Formats: sequence, C-alpha cells, structure tokens
Amino acid sequence: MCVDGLLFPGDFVDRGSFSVENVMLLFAFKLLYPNHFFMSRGNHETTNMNRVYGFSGEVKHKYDDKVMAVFTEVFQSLPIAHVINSRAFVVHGGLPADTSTTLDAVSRISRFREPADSGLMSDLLWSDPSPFKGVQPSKRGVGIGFGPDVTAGFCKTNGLGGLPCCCHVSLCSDVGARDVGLLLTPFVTNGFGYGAGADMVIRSHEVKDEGYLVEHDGKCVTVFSAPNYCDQVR
Amino acid sequence: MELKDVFKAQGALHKKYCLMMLKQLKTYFREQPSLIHVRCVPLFQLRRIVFPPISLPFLHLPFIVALFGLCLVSDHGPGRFQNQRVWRHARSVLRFAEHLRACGHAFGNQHVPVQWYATIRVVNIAMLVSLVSRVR
Repeated sequence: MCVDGLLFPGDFVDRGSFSVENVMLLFAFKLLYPNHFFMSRGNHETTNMNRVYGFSGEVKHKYDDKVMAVFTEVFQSLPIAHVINSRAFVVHGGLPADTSTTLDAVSRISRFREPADSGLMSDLLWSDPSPFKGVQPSKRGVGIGFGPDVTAGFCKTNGLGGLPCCCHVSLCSDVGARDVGLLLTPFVTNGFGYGAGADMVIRSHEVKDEGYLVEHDGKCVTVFSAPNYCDQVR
Repeated sequence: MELKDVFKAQGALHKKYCLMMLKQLKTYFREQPSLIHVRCVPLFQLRRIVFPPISLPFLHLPFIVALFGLCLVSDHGPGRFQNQRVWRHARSVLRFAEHLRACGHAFGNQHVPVQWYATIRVVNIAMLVSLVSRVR
C-alpha cells in the first residue's frame, strides 16, 4: 500500500543535454523509495530512439559504450504500465486496437527486448488518442490512434473502476525530462479523477500546452508537465 | 551562475557508482511484472507527507543534481558508499544535512523502510529541493 508516491510514465531521456543526470536522479529516487516511486517505459527508452535523439551519444560522451549497454538493459527491464487502485490505467503511449485486450495480457508481455514495429507492446508505448471513433493509423507510423469508444471498451473489458481513485494528476514541474509528474499523493483531489469518479486511462507521449489534456469524455488524460520542453519553451 | 556552468564545475556521477545503481535497478526491475498494481492509501488514512507540496517537488531538481551531484551517503561514515569512498561532494552534502538538522529540519523519509537497499541512505533530496527553492 502506497502512502504517497510518484509515477513517471516514461520518456526520461532524449530531451536536452542532461538526460544522464535526469534519469540517474529518477533512478536514485527509485532506489530510495521502491514502493513509493514508480517508473514505466516510454518510447524513448528504446535503442533506436536513443540513437536518433541523442541519449546514446550523451552517455558515450560522459561515460562509454559499456554504460550505454547497461542503460539499455535497464530500459528493457522497465515495467510497461501501472494500474492505480484498480481504477486508472497508466501507460506512456496509449491503448491497443483490440478493446478486448486484458490487463492480464499486458502483464504477460515479454518486455525484455526492443518493441517490434507493431503489436501490443508497441501500441502501449506509441499510440495516441484520437477524437474520432475507432482506430486510425498513427501519424507517427508506429502505434495507432484510438478513439473514445476504444478507451471506453478497454476500461469496460478490464473492470477499471470500483475503488475510490486517490490519484491526482499533478502539474508539478519536471527534471528536464518529458512526461514527468503523475503525483499519486492522495491529499489533493481538486482535479479530475477523484471528483469525476471516472475510470480512466492516463498517458503521456504528447506535448500539451496546459500540461495536461482531458479527452474521451474524461476517460483519457494526457499528462505532460515539462515546462521547458527541449529547451524551447519557458 | 548558469546551470550549465554549475554542472561543469561540479563534475559527474562517477562511472563506478552509475554502473552500480544501474545494475541494482536492472535486477530489481527484472523481478517486477510488466504491469504493476499500485494501491494508494485513502485520504483519511494519510498521516504524513513525504514530499513537499505540489509543484515544488521537482522544480529545482536539476539544481540539486548540480549542487550535490546525486550524493549517496552511507551509514558507515561521511564520504563512504557501501564502505567505499565516494566522490568529493559527499562531504559537503553531509555538512549540509547537519546544518539542516541544526536548523530543526527533520528529514522526511524516516518512516520509509529501506529494504533491499538497506545499507544506503540517500540524502532527502525532496527536503533539499524545498529549501533551495526558497533560497532561489
């Protein structure tokens, strides 16, 4: 049982020049608070993205290839998703196309590898919500765009709901990384979630001007609280 | 001083300790399922807050990293980590921690059981964050 805690739904690196410092600080928190501090994998915790967006180069500059190899192994070991109080499904990207996908299937994902171009693991790390019903091809070329009916179907299939949701989506600032800050501290409930009594999907993956965006009739919340995204926005 | 200059002045986490942390994390995460179930204590059961109020916790963490370099402090004396000597900033963190205690600031993580990481206590960065944010 978590008294209070923090959940970071992925993408800890590849944005800015201090990714190593950022991710190591998060790891230090994880070591200190293993039952209060949670981290899941994002699409940037992958080899290809690290190579293209700079983390690999940063690590090799600050350390060497050996350290980068261990980083890769740690990233491949990160959990894929979290469920808070049997109510909120938290993942980096979004939902898979198949609304019959169960939490058990997510739990059984063989994740100690790089995600494939398609499939459940890839969808969870790459998908985005869409205002249109059904499933659309993703503008990213990986994952899908999932509509409000997909979100509702996933929540219904998995029985998300029933227990009071104590989570609060915080607007706290970041450590330079992206997608930081789903604050589970239950003493604050002045937002969506608790008051709405909604079962929901919480994800990151996209920049939002206000730090978050509620979609799909309140069932899908995007959290993005980096105020200085890519050193471009203050 | 610009943050970049601060980083340059303070140096980086030593490779040995970086690898040590990464390997322990790898072992830990490998034992976890792909889907983690988290249970939060209901509001009425909450007795103590570990982290400072909302919007404070992570506002200045880059500053903390810059100033203190992710210092790990062991129970076996200043500047030591798993009974090995750590890098130069550990002593300054210990002094800062003593200063905090002298000023009456209690460290907020005392009720959190440190389990498999038993021999190590990380300086309560959240408390430092709170204080540094006031300084700034």
